[in-house]
Amino acid sequence: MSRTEQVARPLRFQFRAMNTDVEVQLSAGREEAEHAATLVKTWFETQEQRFSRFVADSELNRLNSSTGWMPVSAAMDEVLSLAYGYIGLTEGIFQPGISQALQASGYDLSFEKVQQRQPQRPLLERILRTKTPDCSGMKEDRYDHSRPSWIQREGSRMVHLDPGAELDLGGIVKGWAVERIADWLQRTLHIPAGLINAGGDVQVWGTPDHPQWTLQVADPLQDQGNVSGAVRLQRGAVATSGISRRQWQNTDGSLAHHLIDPRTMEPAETDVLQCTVLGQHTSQCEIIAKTVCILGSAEAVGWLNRHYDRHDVLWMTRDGITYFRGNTETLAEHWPGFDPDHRFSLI
Amino acid sequence: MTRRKRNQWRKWQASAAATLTVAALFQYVRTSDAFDVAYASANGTDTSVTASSQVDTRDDVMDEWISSTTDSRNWNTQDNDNNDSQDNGTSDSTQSAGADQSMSDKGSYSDSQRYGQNNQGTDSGYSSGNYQSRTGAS
Repeated sequence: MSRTEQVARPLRFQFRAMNTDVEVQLSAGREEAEHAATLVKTWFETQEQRFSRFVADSELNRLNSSTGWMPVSAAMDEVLSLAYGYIGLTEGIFQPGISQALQASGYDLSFEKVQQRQPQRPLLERILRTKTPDCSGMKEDRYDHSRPSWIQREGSRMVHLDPGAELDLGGIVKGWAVERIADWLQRTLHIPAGLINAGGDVQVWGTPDHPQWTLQVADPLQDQGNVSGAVRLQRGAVATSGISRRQWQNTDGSLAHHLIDPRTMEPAETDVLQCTVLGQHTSQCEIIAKTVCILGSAEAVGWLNRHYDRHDVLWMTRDGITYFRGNTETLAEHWPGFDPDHRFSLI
Repeated sequence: MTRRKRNQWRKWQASAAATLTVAALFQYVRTSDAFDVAYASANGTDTSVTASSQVDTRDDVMDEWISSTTDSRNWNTQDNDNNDSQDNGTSDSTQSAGADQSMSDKGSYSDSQRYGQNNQGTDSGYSSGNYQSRTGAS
């Protein structure tokens, strides 16, 4: 294969990390691509060990069990700073302090194990049973969800958790890890074009010489193999969130899912099955997608307008209705295959 | 005689000053970004990348990770000409999700790179010249 062909055709790698499939496509010579992919795998493994609440001695678990000020890594410091900003951006709908509610709802093991487990008692019953004195404060503070439950000491990488607070950073770490390693591959290894996809949270980049990337969007109403349309872009980020995948059943037949509404500390009651966001940064797209899912269609439009959000946001509801809010002039170019029922232009 | 010696000394001084000036000028040019760009261009490397690397700022997160990792592993631990493209981590198949690998496969590069063996018959990563992947709730 000539060097031109090697650069033109991306090499593709795949592995499991953070309880999801990670895909890497790199336009580079084979040796260079293999070396880079190895580093990407190591990066995800490192961050999984650091941020997972299912790894007993993870830095996150050590932080959650800490009292007083605790020194943290640069990565933890950065993710917490990002999370701090996103709590404000989402008016508290993105809230890492939902760890106890997530466990109470039944997501107390890695999702693979949750799926294998027998149906659980109904959610309310489990919440009542799992309440501890510390945990009961959670309900009393339900209207204070917009406040971060930790303090960071600027410039010193020291973190102090509120008493009884437990963080779950699963809603942000995947996107952050994707955009961070994608940026590093460009800046440091000078990979001219590539894709990092961690369970649907995607960052792509490419020089003008490379074609656009096409990301097929899974149809939440159909089997996993079906697609409802695609997103097309040359560089940037796409993230998808939804309630159709990470669901589990209670003994009464009701379904629970992993998107906790911090206003109620229970799985969100929402009409949104799945939301996909197109933008520049994976973590930002991921947070917006989750927020739209939790808020539901009506509230989501209001929230996006209040913040003059500039992302393309597309979501599908249980009724099979598709909403789009974003740049309607480039809708056909960036979202081939979609014909949204409701369209909202940027304001 | 004394006047002649003085003239010679001045000539020597002027010559030395000129030499030093030229040397300093050359050093200034050689250490400039413009020289790096021209040099990289002459050697066929990406000039924009070379220039941007000059202004890279410190990145504590990535420095922390690099210093903690002991990367001596390789994706292709059994690389040889007999392996097909899938075994080398390359594939024409497009489905990004669906590899049947458990977490116990972590670190097993020779296994994890063979994603294509579990994905036979799926669509491709770059058909029609486009780079493709998939997004969905995970």
